[in-house]
Amino acid sequence: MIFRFRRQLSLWLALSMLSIVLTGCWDQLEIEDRALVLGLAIDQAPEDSQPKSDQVTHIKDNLNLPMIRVTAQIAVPGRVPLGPSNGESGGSGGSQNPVWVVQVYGYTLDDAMNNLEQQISDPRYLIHLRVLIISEEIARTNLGDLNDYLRRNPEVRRRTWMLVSEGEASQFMDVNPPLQRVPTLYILSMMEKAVESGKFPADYIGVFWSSESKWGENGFLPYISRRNKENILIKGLAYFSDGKMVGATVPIEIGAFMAMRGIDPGGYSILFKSETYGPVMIMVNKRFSRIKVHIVDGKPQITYHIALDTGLDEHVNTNVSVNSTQKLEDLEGEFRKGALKIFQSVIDKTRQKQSDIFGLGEHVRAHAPAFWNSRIHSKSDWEQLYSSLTIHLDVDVAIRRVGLKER
Amino acid sequence: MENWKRKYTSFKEKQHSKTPGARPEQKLGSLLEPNLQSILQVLGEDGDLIIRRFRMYGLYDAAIIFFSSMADLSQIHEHLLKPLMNPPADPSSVPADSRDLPDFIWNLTIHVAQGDRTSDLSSLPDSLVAGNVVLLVNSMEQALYFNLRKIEQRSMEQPQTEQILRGSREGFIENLESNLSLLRYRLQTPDFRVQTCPLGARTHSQVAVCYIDGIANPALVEEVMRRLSMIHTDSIIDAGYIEQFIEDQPLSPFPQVQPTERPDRSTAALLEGRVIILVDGSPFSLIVPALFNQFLQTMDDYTERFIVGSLIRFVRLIALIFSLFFPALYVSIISFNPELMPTEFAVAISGGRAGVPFPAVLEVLVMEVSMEVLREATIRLPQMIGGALSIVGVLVVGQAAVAAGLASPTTVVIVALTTIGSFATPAYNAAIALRMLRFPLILMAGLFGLYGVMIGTIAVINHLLVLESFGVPYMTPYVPALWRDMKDSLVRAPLWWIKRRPSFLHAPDPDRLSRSMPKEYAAQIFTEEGEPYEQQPAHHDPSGHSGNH
Amino acid sequence: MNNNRPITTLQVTAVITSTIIGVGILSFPRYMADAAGSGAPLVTAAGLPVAFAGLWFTAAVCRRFPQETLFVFSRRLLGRGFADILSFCIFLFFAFSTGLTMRQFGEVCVTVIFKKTPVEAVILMMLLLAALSVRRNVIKFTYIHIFYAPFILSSIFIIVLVALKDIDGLNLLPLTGNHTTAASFFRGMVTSSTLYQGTIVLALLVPLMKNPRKVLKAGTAALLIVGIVYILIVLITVGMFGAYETRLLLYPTLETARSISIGEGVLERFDAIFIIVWVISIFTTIFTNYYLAAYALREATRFRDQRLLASFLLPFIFTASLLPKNVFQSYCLASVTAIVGLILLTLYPLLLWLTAILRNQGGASS
Repeated sequence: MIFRFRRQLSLWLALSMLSIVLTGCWDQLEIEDRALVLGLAIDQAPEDSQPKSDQVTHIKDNLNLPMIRVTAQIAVPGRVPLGPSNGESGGSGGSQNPVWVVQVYGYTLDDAMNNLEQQISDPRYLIHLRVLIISEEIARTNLGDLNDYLRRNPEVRRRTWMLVSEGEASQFMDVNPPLQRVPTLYILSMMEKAVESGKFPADYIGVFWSSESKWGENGFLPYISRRNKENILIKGLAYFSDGKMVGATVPIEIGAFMAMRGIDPGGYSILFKSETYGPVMIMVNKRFSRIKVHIVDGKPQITYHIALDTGLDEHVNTNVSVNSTQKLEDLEGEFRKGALKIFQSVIDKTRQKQSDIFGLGEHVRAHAPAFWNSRIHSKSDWEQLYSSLTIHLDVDVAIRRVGLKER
Repeated sequence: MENWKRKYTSFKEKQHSKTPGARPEQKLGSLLEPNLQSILQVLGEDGDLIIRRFRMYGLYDAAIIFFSSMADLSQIHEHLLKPLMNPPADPSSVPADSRDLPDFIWNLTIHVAQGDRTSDLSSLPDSLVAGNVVLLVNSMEQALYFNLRKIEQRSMEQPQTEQILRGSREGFIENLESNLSLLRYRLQTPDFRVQTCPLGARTHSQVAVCYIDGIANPALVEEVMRRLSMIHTDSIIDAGYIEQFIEDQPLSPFPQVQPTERPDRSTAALLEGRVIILVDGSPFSLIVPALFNQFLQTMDDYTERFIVGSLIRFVRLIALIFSLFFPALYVSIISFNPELMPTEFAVAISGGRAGVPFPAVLEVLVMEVSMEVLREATIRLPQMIGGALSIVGVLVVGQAAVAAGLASPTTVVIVALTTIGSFATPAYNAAIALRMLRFPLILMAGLFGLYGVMIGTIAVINHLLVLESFGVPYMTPYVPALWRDMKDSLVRAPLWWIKRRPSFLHAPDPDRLSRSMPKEYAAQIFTEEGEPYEQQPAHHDPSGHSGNH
Repeated sequence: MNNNRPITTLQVTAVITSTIIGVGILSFPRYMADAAGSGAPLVTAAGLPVAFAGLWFTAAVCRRFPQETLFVFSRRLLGRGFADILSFCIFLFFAFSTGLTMRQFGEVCVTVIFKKTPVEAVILMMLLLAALSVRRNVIKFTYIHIFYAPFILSSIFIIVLVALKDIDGLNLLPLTGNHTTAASFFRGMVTSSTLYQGTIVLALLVPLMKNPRKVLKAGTAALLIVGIVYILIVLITVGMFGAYETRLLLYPTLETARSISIGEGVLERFDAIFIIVWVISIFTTIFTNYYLAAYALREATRFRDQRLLASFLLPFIFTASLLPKNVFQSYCLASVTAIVGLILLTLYPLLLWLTAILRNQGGASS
């Protein structure tokens, strides 16, 4: 008994000694000692103001890469008060900017991040990177180079938002709207709420990557633009082909896109001038879509069946009242025509640029594998085929409600 | 285990084992004075040793010897001295032969229930220190001793360590007889067995092993007795001493024997088929085997309705998890994996910690240690001051630490939650074990973050899984999974559904509820006019003891 | 107390389940997607029959000798020398496989959460933990497994449930995948059958089973459970990312856990929770492998003290885990070991079974 006791005791002692030897706290770093990068904006470095390389990751400039400018928004510990702010402390805290905006240059994203590291005291972490804004220029040229770093780095979340900006991306890092304490988080919450209210599909960076990987689908990203000083407008979808941005839609076409993919809830209202009833606003509440693939003459044909559940939102011309099923059906018919036009415009745009953001190729792959296996051997095969694809649209509109007003 | 077997001596043998430095056996002489001298030689000049010489029946020189501190004087006056000093009504009936004298005194004169005769002089001092009164008579070669012990005892109070809302308010006290009476009073069955023997070579503490014959597994009873018989020590001061001698794994932080102050709880344990051990001088009874499950249960769970009981058990489990893991998780999230927090919160927390100079591990450790100090201090302090101190400690010191930048507000919240959680574990010793295990977990969190916490947790759980209490795996009934016994585990099923005793105790009579009510009982319960509650099944056991088979 | 065959059928199922679910779970959807694209679930399921064959042979031969472990009766069947050599092979396989599993585990940890921690420290911690637990007898070994099995299963199911809403059914069609060839499908099938390794642990448990004849039932149930778990994981991973993306990811399952959230970001980053679960499942796998290694070595060398052997093995397993130079080598070595194991652990029981039938030994109870 005593003997075993001693043996066990010595074993535990040895183990605890060993654990002290093992002790390293290698990865331990307090949260306040980390420079948490909340947002990044990436631009092509302007030709005139291109600085000399910092030579942090390399010695000579023989890389032959275009230089990029990275604007990082870093959270400053202590500026954001803990807990719900009360009037007083909010007032005093509001005067100080809770984030620190740093601008660095580099040949690649990683190079720029290393330069950043060299310039600030705390090690930078991308674990809370929520928003990444790239300028249209970058999106149209070398987005793939950025994505490699982002995909390799385990710190980057797949639920980060990547946005394409009209004009310079860095301007979005200075926005300081009064709705949120931290500017980047404003953009984040703006996007999240757009998803909730059906204004935009949940198009995180991970979703973008997945669709870019698929042979039968092209990725798209939100396209934003700055209005006035503090406002940000979701301007449309930036659609891609062959890994490069090839164009952008207008906002209402986001609604059309979401309708074609059947993403709920419906968040767009459509204003159109009815021939008998004057200008009418119709709000889309629910979207439903079904896609059928047929192979006709060795070529795939897509038939869309789209159903929209809508409500009458506004009816300016009160002289003519909308108060019967017949009248609603009239409106539905006119609305259908208008909607078809919008759908057709999105399809035409993307077909022209060979960008299948609807993922129709995936439908063909899934439902007509024989055709797919024989004809499609790379992503570009489908992109070419898409541009000449026959798409039938069949739209069904139902106006269910007219609001509280009877006439 | 092997050494238990090797050194096995039976419990009964132990009862007769001699104290160290035992005196050689010595017969009583026929003369009074040498006998008295010989006793005095052993007991020395103890101040409370009384020798009262008198003349018995007016014929014989006699003396009674006792310790005034332990004997009931009024009973001595009334039942010893009075009948002995008065000559008997018929003087001729006093036997002439002194050899018949002990029988005469024992059978005809003295009105005392407990006692005996002995001719062994050397045993008399032991008998005296046990509180007996010894009668020596000149020319008689036998001594008589009577148990007229009276020890001051406190009244029964509500148990301090196991407060409950609904249930008996009685608690064990120090006196063994009173404690046994509390059990007998609750268990009016002839099958209730108590086996006592003195343990501790010097203290001779009476240790009682209680079980219910036909419910407790004989192998378990034997095992308990075997382990008790192996105790070789000179002192058993409290039940806690026994616990440390008989537990399976002394190196484990988890208790493998359950101490309780509550007679109702002990009774319930007996009825499950467990064995309890009582020690004279200790208000705690020890329940064996004791499993992890038991430390999360109180009598309240059973006295309250089953839904309430089950809910409370869940709350306790959550509190236990709080107290064990919260600080470690906090440390690992703050210093290793801040990505797990929502971004807004992460930014805000880093703000709260901005002024704190220490790493989170150190901060939490310091706060936790001071919390433990505070807890220990409040237990030792008188109740009045204790309450005040705890408020000062928690509120003022915590607030001041935050204000002084020694700790972040979140840390204070975490430490407070942990401490509150640790008080929700009903068993004090198990709570302490868990509280202490928290510290290695915090250290592991400081070294390896979540991975360290996981490794630590797996180590603790593995330890729990291999632990046994008297041959029963500690995590029973969860592992090995005994579905039937899980009715009384984390959830407490309705009492009428728990039809059987815990199967892991292998009770010879496994049924708690008899499947049909014997006719005799039914007749007792219901009046002649009253309808029986339930129709008797036709295939009713004629013996009337359908429970026993 | 007085029961020397305490292990029930359900417990055997739990032991096998928690043994099998291990390090492969993070990366295997990639192999499956590589083999058959959107037909990945089918490939995963196709591995089951191969694994079942191994199980059947083991169960059949162990059932014939319900009083002894495989290591004991193999001596009678094959002769001492030959049986000892094969037991030693089993030991070598399990010791090596323990080391490589540890290495893969360490690689994931260092890549994903502990960037600066040396991989040796991560591995050593886990190995020490396993080495401490290996010192117990088979019954305690079972207890440890049955405690963790429900946790592993339930947390995987929770993650699957949360991920369900992000699945796009299109990614799983067509069921046989595009551009799938028989060769790639077969390769995927072999890979997937190596994922079901660990049924040999039956050999330890049969002598302690309450009802040794039900061993095949227990093993089959375990294989089915694991099969369902694997298929569910492939379903959510490929369903969420699509086959093309899955091929690009080093740890697709981990990425799945990283991508899901509850309540629009209230509870995000399931990867940490997933890694926690995964640490448990790694522990149970390592534990079995280590235990089998120590047990086989003990039987092969007729050494009595398993505690000493377990401690003695620790440096060797640790060294084995440090053999691969980089992440690709470690995966390559691991898959080679797995295939060697598949062959060894399928053919050896088959050999024993055939010998038992030919020599007409055992089988008193069957």
